[in-house]
Amino acid sequence: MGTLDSIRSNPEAVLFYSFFKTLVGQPVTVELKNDLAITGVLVSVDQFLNIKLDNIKVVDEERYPHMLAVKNCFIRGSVVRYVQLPAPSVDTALLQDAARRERQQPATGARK
Amino acid sequence: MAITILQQAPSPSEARIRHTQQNVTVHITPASKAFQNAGTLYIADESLYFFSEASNSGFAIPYPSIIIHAIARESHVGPSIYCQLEGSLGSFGSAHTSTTTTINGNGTTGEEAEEEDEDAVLELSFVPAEVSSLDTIYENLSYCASLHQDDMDDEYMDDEGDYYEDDINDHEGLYADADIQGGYIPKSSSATAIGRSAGAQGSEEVEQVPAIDLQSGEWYTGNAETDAKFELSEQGQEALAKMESMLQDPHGFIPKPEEEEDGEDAEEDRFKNADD
Repeated sequence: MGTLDSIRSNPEAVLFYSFFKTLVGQPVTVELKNDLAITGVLVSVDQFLNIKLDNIKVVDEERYPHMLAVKNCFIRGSVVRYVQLPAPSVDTALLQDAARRERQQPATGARK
Repeated sequence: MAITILQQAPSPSEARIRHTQQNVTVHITPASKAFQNAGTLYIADESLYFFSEASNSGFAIPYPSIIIHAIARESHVGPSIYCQLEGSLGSFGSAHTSTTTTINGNGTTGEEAEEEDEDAVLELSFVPAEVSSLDTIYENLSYCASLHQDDMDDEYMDDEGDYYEDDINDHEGLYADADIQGGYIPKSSSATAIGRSAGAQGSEEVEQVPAIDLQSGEWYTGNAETDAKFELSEQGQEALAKMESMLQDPHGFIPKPEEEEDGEDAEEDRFKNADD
């Protein structure tokens, strides 16, 4: 099964990809499934929701001393549990709306 | 996902190697006696390989195991590429180079009963002698990592039950007009749709279809919908006000404010389409 198939069968991924793109440049906190939490500026996101952050700060930095010297990082999309966003950046009404409509009529042809 | 121990360096015939960096030392946390000699780092499409001629051993890391990678410019081991691997992969220390051993993500190798600290994360730092190579290594690593994605269907939760049925509004008529794929909905059609709906449902507002154009710019745009269940943001309320005024003039006889932009800046123009 190709990547595009995965995206098509998961319409929210397309939606969130578009949504995250509007957050580029904003500070976010990414919490991973292993409980690691990293705050940084969102540099980019790809269609798999892999995330690149700049100027990162690890929330529990004593636990990861090797990361103290890290400024920018690439986080694998599949390990992300949450992405905390600045509240003013999110219009939840819009997002719920779009998510619902996306389910009813998913965008097709995600060619990149 | 398993890390594989190598007995020989990867060859170009078996791996699509994007970048090779010689004279790299690897530091493993939790500390390990294995792989103390410098070796060569190979960034290939299939896996990340490290092999040391001096110790005649190496390992291959599948990209899905790498949950974070980064450049650490000044760490206590020196300028390096930092990789955090998923799960607790036991210890490299028990790897015996005479055999090819596979270390599993959640178990010990079965050879040494090393204590596994469940909270421990496996971290690797690759320290190249050539510091200027860090950016290239990082970029190639990022590229190859993005080639390997987990099957999203596994993680996708079907939460269809959570969606409430918006059964009051019939959107069929709306969608008939809208071009979901393309980009922005032509204002005339939205006005028509709204005019039509307004006739059918009195004062109830209707929504425009958001355009998710994945071909050019992938900007998400949408319009607020009046709905008692939602609280509208400031922009949403503005959009609502504009739509309300539009209801009084469905055929656009009242001159509209200018609306030239094409939504290249989605952030600001998110609600540009709302006015009509």
